[in-house]
Amino acid sequence: MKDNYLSTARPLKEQIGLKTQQEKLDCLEVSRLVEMQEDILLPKKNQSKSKLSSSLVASLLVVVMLAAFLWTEGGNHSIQAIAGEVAGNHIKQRPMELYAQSMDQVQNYFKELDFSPANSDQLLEQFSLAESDLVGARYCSIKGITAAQLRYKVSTGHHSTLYEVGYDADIYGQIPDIDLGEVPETLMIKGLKVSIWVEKGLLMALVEDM
Amino acid sequence: MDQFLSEDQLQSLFQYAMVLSENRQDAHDLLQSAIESYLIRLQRGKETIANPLAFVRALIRNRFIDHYRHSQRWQNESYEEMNVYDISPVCLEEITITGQELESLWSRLSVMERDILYHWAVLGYSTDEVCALFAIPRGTFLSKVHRLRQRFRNEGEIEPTGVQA
Repeated sequence: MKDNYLSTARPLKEQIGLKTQQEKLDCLEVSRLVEMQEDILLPKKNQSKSKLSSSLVASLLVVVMLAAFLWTEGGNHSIQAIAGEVAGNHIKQRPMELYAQSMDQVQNYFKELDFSPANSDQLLEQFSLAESDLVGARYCSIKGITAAQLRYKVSTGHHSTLYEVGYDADIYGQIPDIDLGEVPETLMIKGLKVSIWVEKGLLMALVEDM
Repeated sequence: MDQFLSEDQLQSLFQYAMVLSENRQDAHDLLQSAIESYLIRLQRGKETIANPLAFVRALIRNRFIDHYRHSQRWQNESYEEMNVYDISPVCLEEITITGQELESLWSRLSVMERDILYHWAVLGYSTDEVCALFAIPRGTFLSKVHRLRQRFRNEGEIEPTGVQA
């Protein structure tokens, strides 16, 4: 097929078509891109297709509200879910949208957020990560809410990722607030160390390689 | 109206990113970041995207120009807009070429030339449509097509290196 493409003379238009068709994403690359879309689009798709009667919708609403209540009450479950999500994001190491070495650059870049990314004091004091260790940033989401992802390079050559999103207890549950003297919740998940806290009104989650 | 990009559409977008970047890793990064931007727009829900494929293709092109302009991989070429050439779409339609000749010539074309050829050959755009899409004057476009025609016609005479508009 390839030999035939190379040696046979064809109209330019056809030959360009054949050339471009030879470039293909592999199965893994396709499935990752499909998965990326499913995370955002499928829940909405399912909603729009559902044709439930009003009484069934009302019943479901009660169940969902009850589940949401139990979910927010169980702070540990919520922290576990956030940790699982950010750890999964960290493992993917998606390319940065912004290569930055200062918070000024980061704050100027993130114009689409409902909050301004903040320089975390906790990051320097407890985790020895300074602003000068910052290498880049990109948009992401936590529990469906658009968030900022900041990547830091640590002395071992590994990367640590800090996630920042506006804190809403109804969505994220009860999270330790270091401005109230509480200490970050730390847990191990997927072989990574994840620390979660609230600072300056933002939920912050730091993922470190072990 | 389905806003989910199918596998065929993803492959088509990747092929377009390859036309621009000529590098598999760069093409993949371009595609991924364009899809992320597309999803962020959908998530915000402030606008309706009628043609997701064209929308993401435009994102890829804009991102490529932004990211690669600094390294001058997107060339700011000088155009001979005042010159009048005796050309028409038929000139390119008449050319035949082997895959080997095309491979040899492809990487020596400028990014914009590859972009124009892709829109013409793969997406089926007419010359007028390409002018409108890239917002380039018809005279500019014609001089570019003239140069392309010369290159393809003279392919056998082109030296292996060093020929670039």
